[in-house]
Amino acid sequence: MPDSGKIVVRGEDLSKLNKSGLAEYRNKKIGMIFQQFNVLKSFTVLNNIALPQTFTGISYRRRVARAHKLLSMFGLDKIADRLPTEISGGQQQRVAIARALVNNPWILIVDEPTGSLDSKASEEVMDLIEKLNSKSRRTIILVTHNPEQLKYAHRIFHMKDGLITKEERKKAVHGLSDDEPGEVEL
Amino acid sequence: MKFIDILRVAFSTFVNNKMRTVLTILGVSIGISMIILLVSIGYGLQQVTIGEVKSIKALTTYDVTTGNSSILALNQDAIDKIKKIDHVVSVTRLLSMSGQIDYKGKKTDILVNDAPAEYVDLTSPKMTVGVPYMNNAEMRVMITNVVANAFNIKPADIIGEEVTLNFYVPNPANDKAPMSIEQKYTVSGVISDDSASYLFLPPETVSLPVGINFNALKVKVATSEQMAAVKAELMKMGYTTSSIGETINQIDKIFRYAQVVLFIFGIVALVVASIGMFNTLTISLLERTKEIGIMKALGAKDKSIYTIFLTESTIIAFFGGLVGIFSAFVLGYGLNIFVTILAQRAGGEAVAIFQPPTLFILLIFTFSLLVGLGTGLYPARRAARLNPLDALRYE
Repeated sequence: MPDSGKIVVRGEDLSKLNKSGLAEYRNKKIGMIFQQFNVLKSFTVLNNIALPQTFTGISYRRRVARAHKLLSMFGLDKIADRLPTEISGGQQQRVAIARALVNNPWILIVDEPTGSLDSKASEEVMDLIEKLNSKSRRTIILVTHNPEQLKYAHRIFHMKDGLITKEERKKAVHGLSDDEPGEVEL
Repeated sequence: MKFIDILRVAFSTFVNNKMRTVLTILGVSIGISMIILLVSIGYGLQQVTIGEVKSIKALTTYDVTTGNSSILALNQDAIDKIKKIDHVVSVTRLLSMSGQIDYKGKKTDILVNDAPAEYVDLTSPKMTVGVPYMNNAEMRVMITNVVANAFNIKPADIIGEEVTLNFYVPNPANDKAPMSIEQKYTVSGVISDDSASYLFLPPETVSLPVGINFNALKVKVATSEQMAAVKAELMKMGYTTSSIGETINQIDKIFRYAQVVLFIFGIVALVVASIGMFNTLTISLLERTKEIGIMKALGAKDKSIYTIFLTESTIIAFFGGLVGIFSAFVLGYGLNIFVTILAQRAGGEAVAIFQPPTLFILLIFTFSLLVGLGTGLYPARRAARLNPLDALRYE
């Protein structure tokens, strides 16, 4: 939580939530993708994708069904039962993306997604993220050091040492919609 | 978070750290099995030594003699007086006389013990062969192995044979000479005593002069709680008393002290195992910092993380307890078999040195679960309190 000020998302003031409420918010309303993938090494690909729903008590059968849906969407069917140590970096990142979408959040926070990937995998991953924005209408908050990725942005916040130095508006931003996010389309 | 999912997380943690999980369970199981073995062997030794003894009737009996006193007498008057003491159930007497036993012309010296069947019963004689006499009037005697050997005859062969006894009954009036008695008896049993030559015969087969002094009395007390009071009364009368029950109590006390010491050693083993487990859990927590950060970032509640860690430590302790109990039983009963084989080779009977008290086993198992909970509390709390941001940055 911020040291001062508020965070208001879609009319909801996040500073009013307690620890438990914040955890639930992270679970349902925000998807996170990290530079280091952060997939659990002791869980299979399938269980990694199903993980967020494990924390909210959703039944095993429903979790697995949902995870399978995302697996096919991202072309990860063949590696469903593999461990993260047995797959490539690009595949791991795609697993992380699928995991981030399991509860259909509006917002995705993406922290340097291609930092640990080669150029081919980087291209695939950015392509995915772009589609999540343009086709599935998700809000992407992308943190990057890579100037090549600025081309995807609608708004750019330049930061130095934790402070915003410049704000740019590149493209028009769509208005808010009141409805819940639909299923992901790629 | 559903509990079955917590179990799934715990299970996958164990599977992914097989070596560490196995070693931790092993550590706990060694502590558990140590304490079980030590306490059970202590208990078993006690049972083997005095367990059987405790059922002997002689435990509530006092052997009464006059000690060194020349004034005190153990005569019929004394018997009647003693019978009147509160809680005294019975008083039986022994009169020992020196004499000779004659079997088919062969003679040997023998101590003639004139005592009723109840008295003999209270000495719990171990019979090589045959039975003690039951009523006090039959002309039967019980001799010892020594006597049979003196006649060069096997104990089994002398049962039912006739012997002639020659002995001297002391005369209470000192101016008269002792009475000489010669009587024929049948051997009814042979006592397994290889140290002395004596026999028992029933009192009604010998007519004794009035006022004769006996050598010893056996005073039976109603219950062991009342023994102290009776002893006090007897000592007030000036008599010397001794009871095997008192000896047993002292041996019992020694065993209890030994058991406490063994128990303490067992506790030490258990404490060491618990410290080992606590160390393992804390290290495991540090290694999984990033993992915890990821789970929290994805929406795991602090409480769920707490439960995961506590469940893991309890499951490890649970299996540690089971394995510990199992191996203690295998080792303990194996020891019993081994010792029994040795004993039987030396001519003894089956011996159970390892005797685990059931209640104790249940207690120890519960204790192992508590150890799991106890050692898991601190790591679980630390895990639950981790800041997700910091945890994610942890390398």
